[in-house]
Amino acid sequence: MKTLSRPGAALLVTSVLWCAVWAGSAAAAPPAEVLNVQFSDSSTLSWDATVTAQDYNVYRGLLRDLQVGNPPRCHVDEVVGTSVVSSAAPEVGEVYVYLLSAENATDEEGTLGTDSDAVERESLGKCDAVMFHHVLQRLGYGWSEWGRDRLQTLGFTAYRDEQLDPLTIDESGDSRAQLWTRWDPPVNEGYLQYRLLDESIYSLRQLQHHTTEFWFNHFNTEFRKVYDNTPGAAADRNLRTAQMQQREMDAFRDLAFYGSFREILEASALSAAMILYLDTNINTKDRPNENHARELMELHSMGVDNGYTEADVQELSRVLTGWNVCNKALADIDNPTAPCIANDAAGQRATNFRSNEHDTGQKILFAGTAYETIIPDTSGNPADGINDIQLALDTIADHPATKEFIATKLLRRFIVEDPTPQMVQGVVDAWTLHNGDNREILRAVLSEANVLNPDFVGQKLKTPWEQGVTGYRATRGLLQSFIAPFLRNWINRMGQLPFRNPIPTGYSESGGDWLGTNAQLDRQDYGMDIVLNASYAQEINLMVSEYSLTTDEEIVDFFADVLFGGQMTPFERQVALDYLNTDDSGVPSPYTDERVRETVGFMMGFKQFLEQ
Amino acid sequence: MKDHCADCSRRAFLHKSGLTLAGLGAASLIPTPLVRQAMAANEDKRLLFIFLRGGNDAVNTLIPHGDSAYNAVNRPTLYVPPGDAIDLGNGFASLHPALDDLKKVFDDGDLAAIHRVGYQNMSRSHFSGQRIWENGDPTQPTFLFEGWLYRYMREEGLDLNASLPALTAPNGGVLMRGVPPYHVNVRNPDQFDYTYEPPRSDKFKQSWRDVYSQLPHGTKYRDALQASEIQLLDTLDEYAAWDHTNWNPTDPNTGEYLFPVSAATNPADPSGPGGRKFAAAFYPFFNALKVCVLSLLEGDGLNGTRIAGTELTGFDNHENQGQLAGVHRDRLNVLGYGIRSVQIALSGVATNEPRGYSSIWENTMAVTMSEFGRTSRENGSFGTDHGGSTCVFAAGGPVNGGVYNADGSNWANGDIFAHDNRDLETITDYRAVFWEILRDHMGALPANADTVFPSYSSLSLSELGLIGT
Repeated sequence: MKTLSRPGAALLVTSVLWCAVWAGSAAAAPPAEVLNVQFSDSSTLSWDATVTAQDYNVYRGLLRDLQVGNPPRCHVDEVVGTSVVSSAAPEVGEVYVYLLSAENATDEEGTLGTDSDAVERESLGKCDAVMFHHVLQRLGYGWSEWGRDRLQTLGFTAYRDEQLDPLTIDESGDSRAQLWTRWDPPVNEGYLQYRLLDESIYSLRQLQHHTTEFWFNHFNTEFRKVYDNTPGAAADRNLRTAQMQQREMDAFRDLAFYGSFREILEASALSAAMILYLDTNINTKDRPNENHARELMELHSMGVDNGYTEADVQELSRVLTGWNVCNKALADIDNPTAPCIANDAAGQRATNFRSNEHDTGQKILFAGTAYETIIPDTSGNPADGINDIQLALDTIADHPATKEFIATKLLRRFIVEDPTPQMVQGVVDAWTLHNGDNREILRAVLSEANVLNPDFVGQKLKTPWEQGVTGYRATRGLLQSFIAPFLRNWINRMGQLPFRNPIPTGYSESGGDWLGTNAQLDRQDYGMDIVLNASYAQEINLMVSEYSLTTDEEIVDFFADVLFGGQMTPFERQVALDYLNTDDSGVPSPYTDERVRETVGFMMGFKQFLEQ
Repeated sequence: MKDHCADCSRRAFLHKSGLTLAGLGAASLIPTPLVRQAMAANEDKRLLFIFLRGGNDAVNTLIPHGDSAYNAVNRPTLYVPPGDAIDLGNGFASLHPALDDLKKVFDDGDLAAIHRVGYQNMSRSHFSGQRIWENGDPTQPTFLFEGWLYRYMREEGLDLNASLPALTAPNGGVLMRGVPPYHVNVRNPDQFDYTYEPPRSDKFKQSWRDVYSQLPHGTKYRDALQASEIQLLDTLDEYAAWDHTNWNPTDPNTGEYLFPVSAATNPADPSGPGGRKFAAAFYPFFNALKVCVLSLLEGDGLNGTRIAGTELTGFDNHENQGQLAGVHRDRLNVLGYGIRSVQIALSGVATNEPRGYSSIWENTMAVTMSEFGRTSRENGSFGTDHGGSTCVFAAGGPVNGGVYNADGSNWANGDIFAHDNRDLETITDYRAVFWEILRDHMGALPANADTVFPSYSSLSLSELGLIGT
């Protein structure tokens, strides 16, 4: 063993590298240990080329972790060449440990060498498996067998590009991917929630549903408030509210990939659901209500206190006067000037514009700034007031504050909670280049550099929705209709049931907001409950037989791979094995089907399954 | 990490002395004067908070009847005439009639009703506003993760040797957020345990404890998840011993249940929803308040729960806010009843209370807060829009009861529009209110002011003298 000081890296930094001679057999593949690893300057790690190596994996961890048996985690994946820049210094008092391995042309990973006791060194999962799992997590709701196979076939870039063009993914032959149709058309809130569950769990178009959920949460509306502002008897109100919410969801799903931010902003702002949710229906020229105007800029586009003033809120609320919702014939639901019909007539609640309730005076947005926009007086022709909102959205959607805010929020959802200014700029540049095309914006968010950065693995917490859906997917849960309320109830308990958030901010994208003792309890309890629910959980036992998992180690390793890309310390692995091999009282006994399931539920309570 | 006044923090002192609070027991029968002071400063003091989410309309809560601009022209459907309101005896301010229970606390001299509390250039965003009230720094609405109560607990070492030093229900909120977390969050007080029971639960709890005790580093939330898990596992048994569900104390005068958490405990009221005093939608609030109160009663001073908090939602009344009836009235009614219940339960006078908790009211403060007030003019939808400063209620045995910032000596006619011709101007900074309570009631070391509320001492905020001597 050799210990190297990291040259030039001040007094606080020490880096330790293990470079023992590998004493294995001379078999051709996989590659031999990587030798002569060293810092050739203060931030460049270099090593000797290894025979048959095509690329290298760099693992990094803290010395004090290693000392208690917790191995380093993937730090740089698939390095071509024999050096890499790793400039970050550990915190004061910490020491980084680096391990390297080589991979051959068939992606077989070589040894990490042995330690001074001749024990084979380990890593916290293998780079390839960890990053593979990470891609499935970032582009959707984690592991599934179809996703695994498809990503294996296409590789990252083609898989991402296919997901970015969801209509090219043929789902017609996949019966589970068609399950959502049982909730279409929706007649009440439950249908909306169940459809979202079916789509998120089973659809092959994973990115589409992940992104739809993002936009729906971003432009949050609440079923109850919309319902409260819809006339009629209960069943009719449920039906009509569900129709409004579904039309909004349909627009988000479509425009997320086949439209611009300007279009999706309008789809939200002028959706019947949003008009009712944020009180635009009662915002009239004589009785202004600024609720929607404020949130449109603060939450939906520019970000709080970011380029607009209180005067702009008031001007935009004037722009929004005259819009409301009424019942319209089906053929007219997209025509805001079509006539309203009786509340109980056949039709759907739809967006409506009343020029006589619209403030026709001139409005000025962003006065005195480079983005000042004058929305002309329409008192000469009040019908033209319908265009006010178009002019306002044009300027808001193109405002640099909007690009920055939305880019940051997308990066926060899909990549990492605190994106660098450079990452944000990359997305903003793509936005400008492609005129706000949502798909191109998302492609920039999901760049190779962003998605395939091993340092971003596990840096986000799953939201309750993600916890519920990834758990179900990974264990191939079959969301039978009688199980659907069970899962919905769990997601509700964990605190993130869609269509139920009364707060316009939507559910938080920050993991810190989802922390707590009760959150921990609910997430672990959920994992246990779904695996012990026999009617659902036999899928786990079926997987054991289909994949011919015949030993305790094969079972634990298989599900560690499925749940968290194999990131498991040797200690965690041993605890999981003990769990599998003992009864409730801790007495060793051969595992049963139920114990296998319970062990999977136990592993769902691990930290790395709460992270993503 | 920024090192705030490391030498003067109580935590640092305790650590440097090699002492912990528990360690001071038999082993040091004669504590040095310094140690005794450090302990005596805050022992047995308790704090309960209620966050009114959505922005409470202070003008219709603590009504400035002495301002002639509070009238039916400016508030056509919201105006509460003096004859319907509860006079507070200073010739100026009244309480909304729904706060009749709160008036009892006021009459006992146990309530400070403080008007026009806020900060300069108040945010009118719910998100930023709540953050600011909770993290204690208006200059960092987004980026300051920790709450001010968290920093107080950290600096004073309140978490040391207490398995349940603080409790929130049903949501954690930001006030006590920080890493490692000190507070236990209880979403549903009747269901705070794993679904599966022993011996199975003994096995998975121990196995998770093993795993979480030895987590690798390298991910952002590693420390928080580890602390949450261990705290959860350490807490469940103690929590179960409280037997929350079967504790239902009543008012000795009326016989009504202090915490209506079900139809059976909801007082009869022929004019109320379903013939009951409160809508069923408020049961979760009362249940959360109940567990907060119970946690304070169960604590045995130094080692028990010292801080508890909950929230009441639905104050964002842009439409149909209501005058003597309606959404705002219903919430005020719940709030007043709730604070009165806190007073009764903590005073040790509740009936149907076989556990015989003794009074801790003289050592407790209960405070409300809300992210902002609302526009002083009614909007076009029979409601109010986001406004500026708001009112704070501070109840408790130690308080100097009375009305603050709402009498003829400090309120000029028309002041309900003093800010932007729209809403209330801030007279007292929220940080001054809460720092006074922390320092003079909870015994926070004065030197910690700038750590709890960044830049506090340089802001030269005027305080009110809320805590009695």
